[in-house]
Amino acid sequence: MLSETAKQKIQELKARYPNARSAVMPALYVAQAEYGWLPQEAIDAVAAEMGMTSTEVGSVASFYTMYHVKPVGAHVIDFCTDLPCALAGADAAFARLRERLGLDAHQETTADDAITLRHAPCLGGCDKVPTLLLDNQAQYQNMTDEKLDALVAQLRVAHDKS
Amino acid sequence: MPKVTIDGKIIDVPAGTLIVEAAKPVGSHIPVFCYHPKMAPAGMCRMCLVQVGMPKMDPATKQPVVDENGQPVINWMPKLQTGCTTVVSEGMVVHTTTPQVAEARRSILEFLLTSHPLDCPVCDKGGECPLQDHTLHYGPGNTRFYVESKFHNDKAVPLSPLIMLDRERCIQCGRCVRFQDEIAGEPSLGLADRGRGLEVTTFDDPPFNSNFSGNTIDICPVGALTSRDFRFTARVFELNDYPSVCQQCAVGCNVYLGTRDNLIRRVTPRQNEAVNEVWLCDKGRLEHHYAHSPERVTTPMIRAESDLTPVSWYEALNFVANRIRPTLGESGKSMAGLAGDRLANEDLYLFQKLFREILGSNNLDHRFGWSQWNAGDALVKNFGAGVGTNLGELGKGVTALLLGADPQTEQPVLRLRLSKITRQGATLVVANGRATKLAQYASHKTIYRYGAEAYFVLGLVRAMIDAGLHKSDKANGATEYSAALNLTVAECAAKAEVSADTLKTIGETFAASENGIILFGREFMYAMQRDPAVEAALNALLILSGHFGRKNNGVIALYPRSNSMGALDMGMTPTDGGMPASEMLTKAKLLYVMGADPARENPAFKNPGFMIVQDLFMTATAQKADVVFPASAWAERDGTFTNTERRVQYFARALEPLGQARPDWAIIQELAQQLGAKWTYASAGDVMNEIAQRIPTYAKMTHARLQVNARRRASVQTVGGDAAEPVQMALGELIGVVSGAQWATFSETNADAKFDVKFVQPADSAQATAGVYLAVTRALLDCGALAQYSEIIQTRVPDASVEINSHDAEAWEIANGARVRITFESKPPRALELPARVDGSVPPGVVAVANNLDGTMNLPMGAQVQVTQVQVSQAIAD
Repeated sequence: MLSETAKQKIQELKARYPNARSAVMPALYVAQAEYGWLPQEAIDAVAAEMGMTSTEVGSVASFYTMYHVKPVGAHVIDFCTDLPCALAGADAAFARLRERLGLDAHQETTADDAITLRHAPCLGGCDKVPTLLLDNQAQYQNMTDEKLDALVAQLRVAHDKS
Repeated sequence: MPKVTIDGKIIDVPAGTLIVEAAKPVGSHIPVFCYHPKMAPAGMCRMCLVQVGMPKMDPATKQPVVDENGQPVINWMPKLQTGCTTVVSEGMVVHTTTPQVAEARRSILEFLLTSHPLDCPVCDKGGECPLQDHTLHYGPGNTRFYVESKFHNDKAVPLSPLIMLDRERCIQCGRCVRFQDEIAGEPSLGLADRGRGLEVTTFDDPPFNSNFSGNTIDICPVGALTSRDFRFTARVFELNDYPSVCQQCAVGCNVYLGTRDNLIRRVTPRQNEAVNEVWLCDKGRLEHHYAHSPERVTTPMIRAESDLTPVSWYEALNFVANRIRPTLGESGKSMAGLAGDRLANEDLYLFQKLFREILGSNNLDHRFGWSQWNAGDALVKNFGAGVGTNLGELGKGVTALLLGADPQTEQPVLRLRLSKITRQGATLVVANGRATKLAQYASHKTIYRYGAEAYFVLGLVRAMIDAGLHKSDKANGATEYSAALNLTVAECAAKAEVSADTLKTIGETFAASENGIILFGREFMYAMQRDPAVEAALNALLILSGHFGRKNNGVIALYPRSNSMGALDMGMTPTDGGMPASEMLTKAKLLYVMGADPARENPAFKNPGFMIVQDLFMTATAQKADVVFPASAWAERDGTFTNTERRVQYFARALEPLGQARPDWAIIQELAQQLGAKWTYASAGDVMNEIAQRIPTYAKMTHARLQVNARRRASVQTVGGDAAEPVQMALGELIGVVSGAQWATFSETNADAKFDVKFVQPADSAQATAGVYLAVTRALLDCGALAQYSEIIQTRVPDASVEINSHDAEAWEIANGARVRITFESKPPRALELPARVDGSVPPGVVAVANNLDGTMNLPMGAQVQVTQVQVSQAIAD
């Protein structure tokens, strides 16, 4: 169930657009913040608030990678492995990071649901490679192995505390 | 109109025409996958690439530059253009057959086939598949991709109980998604993910829940969406497609019955731009299973001692004739005939002829149950929508006023067609006592108080007169009417509980519009039955607005069944003091019931003395009969139906009759012959010839004439069959195909006639303020007389529920989904227990129940003539 605050937030978002349906994307972020990802239930709840069908909302959610239609860890690392990053050794860094997180080739999320690691297409930080996006929010650049280790350690601490 | 040159042929086409459409009349076939003539272009598949050039313009003179031969110089666009999204313009030159275009088509097909499973030998689409056909015509003969490198995906994914999806075959054209969104208005299919992972899916529960879902199978240009009903039961090229008319509702959608080995394997829409275009609802597509149900009655039966015993036709007919013969001439008046309005015109005509000419009785009716009332018959006869009216093409200058109807569940394809008219420039007004699906598309929508329909319409009349927009040249008594109409718009609005401004706007819009059409539905017919002022008011609105007697003007009654209109035309109503259905069921001594089941609607019904039942099944009424005649299903004989727009349509015979079943008209003829009549009809066509001679409105309506564009679709195996035709029909590529014929109304054939307008004071409804109004609605998919034999329909029938307004629910402390007990005045007293649906489709003070679902069947409310008051007396939470 979406909280009343979230429902109210979605209604406010709808009022911001000339066509209320345009609010579906920010509304999905509201739901994602609440659930951590977008299970069917969240999609249904957004659809109900938006006055759209679940299918319309689900199509939008599944199109964009920043909406998680599969469960993810508490933190999501989108690691760029496009050409400039790859030339700067991103593939090796990615593999090493995956190993450090104890993930095998088919896993994206650590066993304790703390961290999800995914390949990402270009994040636009090609001058400061390798680069990654944390939780759809912050871009981390020039990610050396040391900086990656420090980031992971920091995320683990944050996750263990919560 | 722009003049364009396509493959060297010059053609004038209306501005705004797309290249793919402009190419059709000149015979240039541009292959498409994602484009569909009924939907907005998408440009997704790139199959329609063509070479396009524009005349070079001189910037100084703004005139085309000409070469030394005086021909315009053409600037060719550097790349190929999509024919489905490019609009033609003056002087445009298009090439569709150049090597460049051929190469583009070959490449697109090679791409589409990289991972196509090529399982055509087991694919339902094989044989009528655009991907197959285009590959044959335009594609590469070979592949450069190895089988091992193919991308595999899910096969046989059930999208819904009706539809199976094969993800490998999907070419991602989005036709299905766009159909559900644009045409059906039920966006329950979507494209999930993107790129290689793009797939058609539904996030809804129940999944892909749409009453039009079957159309996505027809328009799918590959075998991705297949019918779970038809899957693997026949190859399409083995089917014989017989032209028929759907008999599930009064729209009369044109269909093909695809048969093999004397079984209907599938029903697909047959193009008729005036009726169903290329669409069909799921009920029409799936209900045919009753025709070969094992429950069918296949032999005549007579009651020997206490049981019905199978006998020969000779014995059965003799039994009846012997019973009738001694009383011929004297007690004809005690004989009565009740016929269902799903039967063909030929059956109904002979049925009434038997009664009127042989038995000497006028006790004839086709209306029982909720459809038993006068439904504005005179309005239709005088002012029916003019010949040539095409409801799907209504546009600028037309106002359509829909009163008390819910076509979404009662005439689904009509809803689908009316929902697009506002986009075409027409004004759509939807007024009912509750919210309906069609209201979403309306220019003006309003919810009046049930029981105040007369005031609502009078308010429109008053608004029209106040604005001086009324016309009195064809009215008798217009001045007197205007004086007698002692109500102001505000008073009418107050009674109907709508805003006076709304009433004024609608009244003035309708009157001022160049053309006006009024459609009224079942809920309005309730009102007409209860209060004669409703019909009088509608009569005045029509006459004083002058909206009758020509195309796009007049009235359409949305009747309940496929041939309700025909039954009226054939004279299946009591005349000259004959008994109506309500009376004959108790007073007649001999009752002949054909294709009707009064005992189902009213379990208290008793055999009145001697009863003949002619039907497909051992209905509740048949079980009480003395004689049962097995009748052929509609697919087992030919005939005509007259749809709700007065369009007479021919349906062909597609199957051999089951057992000893015979067409209804043939049984009636045999009985008449036993009674001494010299009838010699050799076919239904013979009967129709007589109808054409004896019923003036049906003049010249012979089977031969009605069969134009209603021919059997030749399968590819048939000699002379055109393999390309099925694909074209499925895609709706044929332009302007129309079949059937509308009869002209009295006001059309008598242009100088004047009509009386009389003011009738509305009866002030005694609606108790303490009570709650029970609105009786209909569900589309139900457990009806025929639908119950279709298992696949039964998987989709909704559970009965009662719709309650959210304010009422709060006041009565009823939660959504809680069980509610509804009691209402009836004899004998009955109560109803249903789950509540609090969804805002009904206004406060109204609850709505569909009366054709499990638990709500056979309830007197649907059968009652008067307004049904209910008390929501007790709520029991789950």
